[in-house]
Amino acid sequence: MATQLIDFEKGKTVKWPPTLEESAKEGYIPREVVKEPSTERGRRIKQRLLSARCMLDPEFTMLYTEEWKKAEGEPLLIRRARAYKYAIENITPVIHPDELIAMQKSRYIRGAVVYAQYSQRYYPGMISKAEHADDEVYDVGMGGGRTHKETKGMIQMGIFGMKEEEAEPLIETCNYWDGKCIEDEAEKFLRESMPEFDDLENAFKTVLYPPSVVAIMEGRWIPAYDMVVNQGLEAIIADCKEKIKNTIPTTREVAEKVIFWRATILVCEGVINWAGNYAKKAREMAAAEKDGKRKAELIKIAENLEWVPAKPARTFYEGLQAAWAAHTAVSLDGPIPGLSPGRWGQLLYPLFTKDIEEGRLTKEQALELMELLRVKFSSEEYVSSRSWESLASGNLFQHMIVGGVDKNGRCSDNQLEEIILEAGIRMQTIQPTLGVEVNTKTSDRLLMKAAECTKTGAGYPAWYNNNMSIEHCLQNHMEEGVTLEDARDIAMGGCVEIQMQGTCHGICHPAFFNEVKCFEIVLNDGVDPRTGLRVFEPLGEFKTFDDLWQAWCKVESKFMKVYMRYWNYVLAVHREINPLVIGSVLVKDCVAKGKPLDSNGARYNKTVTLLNSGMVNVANSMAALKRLVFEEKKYTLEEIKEGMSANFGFERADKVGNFSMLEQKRIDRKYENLHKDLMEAPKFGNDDDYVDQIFVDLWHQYNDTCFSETTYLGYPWVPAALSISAHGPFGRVCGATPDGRVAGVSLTDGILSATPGTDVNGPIALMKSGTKLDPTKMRSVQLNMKMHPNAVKGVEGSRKLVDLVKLISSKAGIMYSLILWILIC
Amino acid sequence: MTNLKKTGLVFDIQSFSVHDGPGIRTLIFLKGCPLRCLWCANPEGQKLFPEVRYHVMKCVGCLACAEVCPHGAITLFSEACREGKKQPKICIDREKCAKCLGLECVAACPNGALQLTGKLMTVEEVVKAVKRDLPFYRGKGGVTLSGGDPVYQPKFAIELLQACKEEYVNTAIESAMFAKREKIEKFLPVTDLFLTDIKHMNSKKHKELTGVPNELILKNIALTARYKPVLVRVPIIPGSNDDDKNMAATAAFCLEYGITRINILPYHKLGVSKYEQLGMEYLQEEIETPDDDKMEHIKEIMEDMGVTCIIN
Repeated sequence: MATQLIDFEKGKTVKWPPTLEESAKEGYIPREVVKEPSTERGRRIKQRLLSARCMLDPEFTMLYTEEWKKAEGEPLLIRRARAYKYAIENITPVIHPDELIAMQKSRYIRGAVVYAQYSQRYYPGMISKAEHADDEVYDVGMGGGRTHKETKGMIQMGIFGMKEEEAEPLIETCNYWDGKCIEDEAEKFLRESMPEFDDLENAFKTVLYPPSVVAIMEGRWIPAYDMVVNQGLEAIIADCKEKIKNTIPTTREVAEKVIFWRATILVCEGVINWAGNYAKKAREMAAAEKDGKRKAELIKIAENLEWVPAKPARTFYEGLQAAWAAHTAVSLDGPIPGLSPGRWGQLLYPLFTKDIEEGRLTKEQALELMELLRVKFSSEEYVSSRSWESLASGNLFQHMIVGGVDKNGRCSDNQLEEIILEAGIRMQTIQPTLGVEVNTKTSDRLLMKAAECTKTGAGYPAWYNNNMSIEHCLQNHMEEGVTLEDARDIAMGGCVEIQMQGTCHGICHPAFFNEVKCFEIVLNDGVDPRTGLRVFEPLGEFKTFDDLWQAWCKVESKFMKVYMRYWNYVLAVHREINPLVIGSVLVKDCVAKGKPLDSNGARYNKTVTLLNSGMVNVANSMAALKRLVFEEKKYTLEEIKEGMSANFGFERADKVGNFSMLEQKRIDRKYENLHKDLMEAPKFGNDDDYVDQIFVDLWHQYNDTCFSETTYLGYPWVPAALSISAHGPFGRVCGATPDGRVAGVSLTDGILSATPGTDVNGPIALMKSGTKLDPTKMRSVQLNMKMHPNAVKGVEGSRKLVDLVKLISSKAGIMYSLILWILIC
Repeated sequence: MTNLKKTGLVFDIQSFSVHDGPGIRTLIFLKGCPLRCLWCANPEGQKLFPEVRYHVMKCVGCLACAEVCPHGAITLFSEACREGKKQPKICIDREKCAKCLGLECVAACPNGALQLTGKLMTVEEVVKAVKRDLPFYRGKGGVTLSGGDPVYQPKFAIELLQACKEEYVNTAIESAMFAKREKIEKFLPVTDLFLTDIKHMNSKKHKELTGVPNELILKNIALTARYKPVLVRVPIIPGSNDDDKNMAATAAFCLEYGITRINILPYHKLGVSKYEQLGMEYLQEEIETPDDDKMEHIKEIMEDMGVTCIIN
């Protein structure tokens, strides 16, 4: 809806990578830790990934739709399972040269598949705008970097290429879903049933909410990979057959269980057959292969896939292949940006040690496999609207976790987890991203390895406070009878949201609430200054700070509630027309209960969150108004608003072509002093209670509003504090704010991060500010911190980094409890 | 009992410092130093009164500062009062502004081009900042008083160190040790580690480079080393003090008084821009940072003598 209003084109793309001289000029210094993939094969595969073109692969959705049509009249779950089974059994198996772990969603090295049953809208649009380029050489736009020699018969849509002959069948598929897909169906439902439909539309128009994310709407979770690796899919099938045999369909509820088990059998068979197709392909390739070594490798791949994922894995190699197959199979069930592997270092450690002890595997081989696995994760692309791409930076958030504790609360870090970190150091790909769960019991050895990994500058691992995460899960899932053992088995569902492994419904959310836009509407008496739309009744004059605060609470809670209710309507439609099947099978206890995820089949269902962006800007703005207008009375609110509408005399950010406050140009000096006073008002991140208290109050207000609403699963909403990259696009649509930010400039990133340049008392003061907020009830609280490489140089530097993180996590002194995303730059 | 209301002139507090002293430390920079080392990287620490730093890049030449200056110290720039290489918009008469207490210009500047360096803080205020970092010291880390030279504001420094000791915080000072013996003695009970420089072993040469002779400094180091750990640091200034003979003499002196660790710090130019901002002249002649080979060579000389030598 509002995509066209966000001007991404003008944001200049930096030239990447910079030359050494350019880096030196900008003050960058080389990374302390620089390593290459450990084998020649790894280097080749990495290079291939980096030079591969992004491809759109509609094969799965076309097959899916074909069978979906044929299965008309079947019970919904059976129809879904049949369509999935048919599609997965018939997609083309492709094994890329040099690979040791096979299988992927698409046919390509970097490929995205389509899920037309969610949203059909933008594919025809993409295709109609595609450039047909025959034998031309041109730069693939947006982001730049890769140049592709075009081949005949390819079309280019944004960053994605597609086979020309697939365009028409894809459009046909989309046409079938027109009016039937989740997005279209939900819109009808909303329009006809939602009392606040006008508010909803206004909120989209003003970008209080970003454009619809239905095309990539699935939640973020960690499947129960152990069901595939340790039990095998045949065991699940046998279990379901047994259950069907022993169940007499009495009430509707019981009958539905039987249908779910039947659907389970279908999808599990589909996955086994799909693996069989790959095995067959590997055998064919082996037969034709001249190189003896590669021939043996291909035969090994075939042998692996003839055994797993049907049967329990016997070796580490099989285990890894089985887990990867499970991951890919689930990700074909729906668009799940944030399907996370979780603790594979724990999952596969027993197989790893057994192989090492029995001499079947060396650590070098394990390292190579983990490196190659990183490329597999990175091969998975996804298509989404450009607005979401900018909100989330196109990231797939497949998060792998090391550290933490076992079910008995003991330190559980192991050698395989060190190998996972080493693979992250050597094979620097964007997926899977890594996280380290720092418990007071976590070994220094693992943390030092993680520090080494941070020092590569790759942007991972993220550091998590394990003790606090456990506390959160115990608190959050109390009403569902959470066990301590489950709460200790924590990983990340997606980017930074705490999730217990294999037992939870996906963390499903509508996207981000634009706090700064909400504040603009409050200050403008209910009108959005950019569009001129009145979205709230007049709020009256603010005589005191409390008047302002009350108005804020009214507007924010209204639009948060509309946003949450909107999502309930969408998910209700999802449940009625597209319940997850294989996704459900691999979450405990869906099979045991005989219910899919959509019907509360998971063991824990209080997982739906609401996200936001820009709270620090609102806190700083309120502090500035409180001090200058209501206490010191140096300015009237009108004077400040006048300055804001004149953008404090600055040039518009989009004209400057840069959205950082540092780069803004003053063109009129009239508001110089006002702007200075606003900038000098208390700012979050300096351990200053004046503003920090407002920040905490704002969050309590936000949290209370979340808890006051009920999700489509019947539990209270959970507040989550993360903003990914929403601060950029949200900033574009917001005018100047009383914290001194000028129009168009990005909002403050992260959650506990200070506005760039305003935290002047060092990192500890920043954390002290941040930790005034008790995050126990929140799903995630995130802080981005950037450090200069010299600050953590050498082993001594790593120690200091580890000390800092441990102290943040430890109970000693101040209770620190947050997610720390340390970047070396 | 510590006098928490005692005030001192502080020009910076750096949290989470990982360079000066063991562990994660809080650095407190006190203003005022008796030395005038040619290469001084913290010239804003030299004088014992607040100064105005002028950032040319941020100045738009609005003269809001000149309008409020009670001393008439600020005028529109003319070639005659050029302070540095960059083209400034205003000219500050530093003589006139040295005694100013109001500092109205800093408050008047809408662009942050004029910034105050040095403000009066009570021991209590500094301790509040220290307490924030307290959980991060974990036995190893602590507070380092730097400067300037903390010995130049002895009463404040000692009160502050005393207050830190009451919080069980490890304390260090970074001092040139150019002070009367009695003053240094007062620091001994409240300081866990002394970081000090030996800039030259030859007193005459020392005076040329720093403005003061070295006898008193060396005596104080010798005295301190008897009671407390001393870490000697030698700035390596090419052409001034880096000859083999001086390096060997430095190591010999340290060994004589039981100091077995020396840090050698390569000369750097990171402080140069501050001279312009303060309207001071950078008197150190143009030299380059010594290369790794040079540093390794010096390390070898020192280690041959029997001390542990660390670069940086």
